[in-house]
Amino acid sequence: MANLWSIRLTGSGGQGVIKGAIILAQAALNDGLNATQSQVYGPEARGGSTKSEVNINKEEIFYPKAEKPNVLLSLTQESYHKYSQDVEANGFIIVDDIMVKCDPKEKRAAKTFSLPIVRTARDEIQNELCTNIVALGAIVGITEMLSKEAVLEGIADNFKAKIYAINEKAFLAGYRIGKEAQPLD
Amino acid sequence: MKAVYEKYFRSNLPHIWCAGCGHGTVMAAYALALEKLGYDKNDVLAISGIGCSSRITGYLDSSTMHTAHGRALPVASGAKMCEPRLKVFVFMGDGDCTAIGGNHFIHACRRNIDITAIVMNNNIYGMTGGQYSPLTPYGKKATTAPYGNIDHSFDLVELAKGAGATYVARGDVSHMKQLSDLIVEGAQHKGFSVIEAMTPCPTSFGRYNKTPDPAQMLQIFRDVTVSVKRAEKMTAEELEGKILTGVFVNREAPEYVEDYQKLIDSFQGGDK
Amino acid sequence: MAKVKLLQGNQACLEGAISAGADFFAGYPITPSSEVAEQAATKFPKLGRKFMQMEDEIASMAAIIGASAVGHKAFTATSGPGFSLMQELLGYAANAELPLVVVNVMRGGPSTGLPTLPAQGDVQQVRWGTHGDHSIIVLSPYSVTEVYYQTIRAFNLAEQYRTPVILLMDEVIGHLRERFDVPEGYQPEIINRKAPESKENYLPFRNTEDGVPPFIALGQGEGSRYHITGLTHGESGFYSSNPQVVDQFIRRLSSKIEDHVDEIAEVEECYTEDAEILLVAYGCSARASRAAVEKLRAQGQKVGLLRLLTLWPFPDKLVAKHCAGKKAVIMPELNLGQMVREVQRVCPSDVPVKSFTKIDGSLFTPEEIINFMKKGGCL
Repeated sequence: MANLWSIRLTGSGGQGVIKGAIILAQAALNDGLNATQSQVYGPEARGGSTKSEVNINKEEIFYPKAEKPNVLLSLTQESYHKYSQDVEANGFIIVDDIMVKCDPKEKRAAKTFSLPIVRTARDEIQNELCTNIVALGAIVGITEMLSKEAVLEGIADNFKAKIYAINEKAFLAGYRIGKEAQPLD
Repeated sequence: MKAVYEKYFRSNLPHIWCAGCGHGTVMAAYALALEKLGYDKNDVLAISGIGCSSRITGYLDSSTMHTAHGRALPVASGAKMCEPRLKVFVFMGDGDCTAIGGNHFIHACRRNIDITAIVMNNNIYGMTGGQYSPLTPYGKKATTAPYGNIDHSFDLVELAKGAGATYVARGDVSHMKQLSDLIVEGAQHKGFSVIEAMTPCPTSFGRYNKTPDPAQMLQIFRDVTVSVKRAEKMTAEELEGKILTGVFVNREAPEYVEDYQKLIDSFQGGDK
Repeated sequence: MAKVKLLQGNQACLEGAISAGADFFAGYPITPSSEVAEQAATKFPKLGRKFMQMEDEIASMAAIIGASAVGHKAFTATSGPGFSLMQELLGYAANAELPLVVVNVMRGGPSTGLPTLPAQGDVQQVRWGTHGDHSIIVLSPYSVTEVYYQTIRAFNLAEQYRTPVILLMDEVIGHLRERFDVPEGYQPEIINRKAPESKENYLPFRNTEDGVPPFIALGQGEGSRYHITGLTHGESGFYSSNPQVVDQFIRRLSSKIEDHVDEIAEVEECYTEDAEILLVAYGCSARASRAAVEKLRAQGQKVGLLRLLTLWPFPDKLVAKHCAGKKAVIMPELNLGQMVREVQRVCPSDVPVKSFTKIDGSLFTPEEIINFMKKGGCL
């Protein structure tokens, strides 16, 4: 009955956090699971804080928000401070290594991964707009919450054909980073 | 003997207009226009707002709607959009059109939707007892301007022009044939047509402004109105204090309902 | 197998409107309802249907009134501030008995309030917001799939009872994305306003057995040269202040709906049969309530949920029946206790009814509801 996964994706407007959440929810459906996706956003289309939540469950999901997230993606320092303590002890905190500085003195119960998400999008994919998809790859690589195929299908469901290829590349790059990632001590 | 236009009126209805009111003349001018246009009564939809002017729809033998204060134009826009074959006429008073309905008015002008709007301008809120409207001239008295109006009035023609109406005309009830002809031309025009019909209100305007006599008010209309054609030959001095009548704008522009139909047609035979 | 689709509540609303046969949308952008307008603008022209963006919400209501009068199924979508502007013409539509659907995706108020955050503060405004006596139908969906079905039902009820119907959503449901569970090729039952048996001597506001006058659209030839007014009117449609005519007319505006509450009002029962404690909820609050009930049931607690799918006409009998014999009835709402008054009105006097309110712009968590029950000594 409890959600298999309760994911909170946070960042600032324009980073594609909500789009990433939509793809994740669609991917869960593609994998034969149930999912809900909700969001909280400010009035700004660019900048400002954004939070989107995805619940994944085998059963029907009644509560549409993340009650106790077991995955947090944080692409801004502010959102890390605000939400990192809410994550379940056996959960995962994934942050961007240039946007978020994790103070070693502030221990979190959940495993924390500091990864080159923005850098990968910018340098390897050569398009910072792909930050959200690199992040999705990292999340899936670390947690194995969904099949790679289901997420790629979710990406195909949400992007026009001509930009699918670059997003596929971004996802796979993120996935690889996630697979190789080691949590901070 | 019944006048030719009476077939456009509903029978057995007493009207509410005061003796000397010009609204009945506007109604006759409209009925004459329908006769000239040759429209089937079943294809005519007449829509009004609220006020003395709005009661006209109760007296006309077609599909009619008496809506809310100021709202006749957006109601008509929805109806015209859904049933483009209907001939849609909107009747408004001066306060109805330019105060509470002012926003709807400028946007209908801008949209250029194929509706003919007839603004029965008596320069006052008649039904509620003679309060000043946005078309009450500066300095005139009203029950809410007992010491003289310090609001500056709109010029309806300029307002309609500025907002983008593609047919703008002004007539008055002392020149009934001209008024009727303007309605005909406005109805035949493809796009949003505005016809200001100056109409006297001896009861609520005249009474407070030293012109309580209906005949006197009509005489004033005759004296101050000058057709735009005649005005061309007049000097600025001669035109001092005159009100121009006739056609001020008559231009072609894409019509809203037709443009939307083109959009629909563009999708025929597959999504683009 | 067809693709399992993730859809947003506001998108499902447009899909429902399409299935219901709506062919005209007029609206003005406002968060959190704008996706309905955007979807209509995108999809309607492809389907030969029409979309208009108006200058404000007053004009939006006016335009759909015009569309309905000439026989089309029309709707608009808005949120609190826009809904406030619509009250004037909502009364007109009730008075002129014009079928139409108003979607209100509730956000925090009063005034501009919390544009992007949920609330349920309009549940009495939908009933009493316009001046004068009338009745109205208000539906409250709680899932994306249900938004679709309830939108269709809203159009059907509007047509059947010649009345405006409000589909009352909230920001959570409007923006929520989840599985859209409507079978491929689903064909709903469609109700159209009833036509008179004969067009001769047509009386547009004739009192009939069910209180709903048969309808001929304006501009449709024989019988259609009649008059619609927002003034109080007799069966012919023309103004009347005759006390008998007025009395009959105003009573009929209410009774044509209130007399059919059993056919209109729907509730959903979850674990109500053996429940000792009953939650009563609607919209997004019902999502949190249902989650709380599931948790408590897993712990062996005899807790149930009565979910209101119809807020107005209020399902007096159904609510009274389900409340009877309970140890306590609890109503969580994202307002300061608006619908709980109705529950208190109909609940047997020996059953305590407790209101649990939240107005901080966020949805209840199931834990909060459970804690409220514990603190109140219910568990």
